[in-house]
Amino acid sequence: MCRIKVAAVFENGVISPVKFRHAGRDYKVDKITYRWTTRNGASKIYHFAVYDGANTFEISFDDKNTLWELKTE
Amino acid sequence: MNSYFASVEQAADPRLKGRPVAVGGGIGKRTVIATSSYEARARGVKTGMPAWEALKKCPGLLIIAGDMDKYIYTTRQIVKIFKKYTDLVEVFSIDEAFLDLSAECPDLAGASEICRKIKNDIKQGFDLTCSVGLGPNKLIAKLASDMQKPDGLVAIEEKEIPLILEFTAVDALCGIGRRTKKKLNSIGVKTCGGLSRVPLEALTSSFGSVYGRRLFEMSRGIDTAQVDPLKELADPKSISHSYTLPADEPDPEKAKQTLFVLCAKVAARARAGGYRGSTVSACVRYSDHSMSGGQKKLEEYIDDGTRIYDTALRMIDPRGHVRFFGVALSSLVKGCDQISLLSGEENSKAAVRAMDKVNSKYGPGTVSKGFISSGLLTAKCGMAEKTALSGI
Repeated sequence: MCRIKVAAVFENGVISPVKFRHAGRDYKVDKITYRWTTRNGASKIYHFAVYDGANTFEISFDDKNTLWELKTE
Repeated sequence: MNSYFASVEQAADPRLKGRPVAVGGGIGKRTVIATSSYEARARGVKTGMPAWEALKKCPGLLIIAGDMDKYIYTTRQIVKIFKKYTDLVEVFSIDEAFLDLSAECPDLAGASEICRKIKNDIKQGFDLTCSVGLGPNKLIAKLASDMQKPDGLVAIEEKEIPLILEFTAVDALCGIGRRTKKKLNSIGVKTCGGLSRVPLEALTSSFGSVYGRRLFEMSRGIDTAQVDPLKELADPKSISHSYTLPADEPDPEKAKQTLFVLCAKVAARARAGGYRGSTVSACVRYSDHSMSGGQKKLEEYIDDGTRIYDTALRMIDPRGHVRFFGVALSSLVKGCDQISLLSGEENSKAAVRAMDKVNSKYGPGTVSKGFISSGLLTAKCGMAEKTALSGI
């Protein structure tokens, strides 16, 4: 996992990432293809499978530590 | 649900749609296929198949490591959809459930309409398909759900049951497995119709009074079991963990570290659920596929990983080239925690409780018991070498 910068919309209790930056490159989220949540200690982790038109990425938001991460291979 | 894990992965990643995909325990060659997409199944890939065999049958197969968190979360959300239509929902497995719709609609037509709505809700919410079976009882509903895959909706009326069962293979019924099928086939019974013509006395004589009678009823489509919404909350009979090592471990001391971690995980799950157990089972498999194992009943109930490990070692003493370990704690009871008169033991319990509290706040594995291997006690500055417990 690696930390990333994400622009997201928080609306009516729903989080929707819109774009993110990783390794100096910006990725625009065309579609959020899947959402799910897990728990890690006291943190609730919001997971998103996001598609930029070419590739799918898994990014997650840790609500307690307020950080976004990208799942890397 | 239709090829559930693979379908969830295809829904999450549009690039996988239409491609042969399988979900395994990992992505290495030792992994076993948990499920595969219909595209993979068409090429001969089957559940339980080792990865190397699946790749031989389907060279273009994409094997993905399973993500149980994703599937469990999805199941929970799907159950919420079911509960919009009825409170009587029995979760049968991670990808199957029974719903009792008899109070919601008087006939099969009404029930079929509800089922169409449920299928649509699941498709809209998750881009997943499911096969639904409708019948007068759970046995027939399950049979109907298996008749059309994927994306099926099959209703069987009471009057159709005898004709359908006449030609249905015995093992198509939920509750008749491989061994029973083999035994029935050996006496010339291959279909439910054939089974229904076996006298009750002959069935109870061969299969026992309870199961024999059950077979007699099943062959006639009779099933009196109710949809039980409390079944998902039932206490577990055992708590277990097993692990196939990525590579055979030739060093028994290193192999024991894996066993220790598995015992710690079993213990952590037991404590999290408020359970203690008095029976420990353990097994080890080697690279030559030989196995050894056993089960030990203790005089007291335990929930401590070290105690489970010590007990497991009394049954299995890993020698070289370990491939797989399995550990289970059973004979479970809840809320049985006696104060020990030994201060050392109480201190140990307090330490474990503190460890659980830290892990609960900061995530599993933040703090864990150290494993000191006797084989590694050396003269390295007089200190024993500790081993990190991670990656399992």
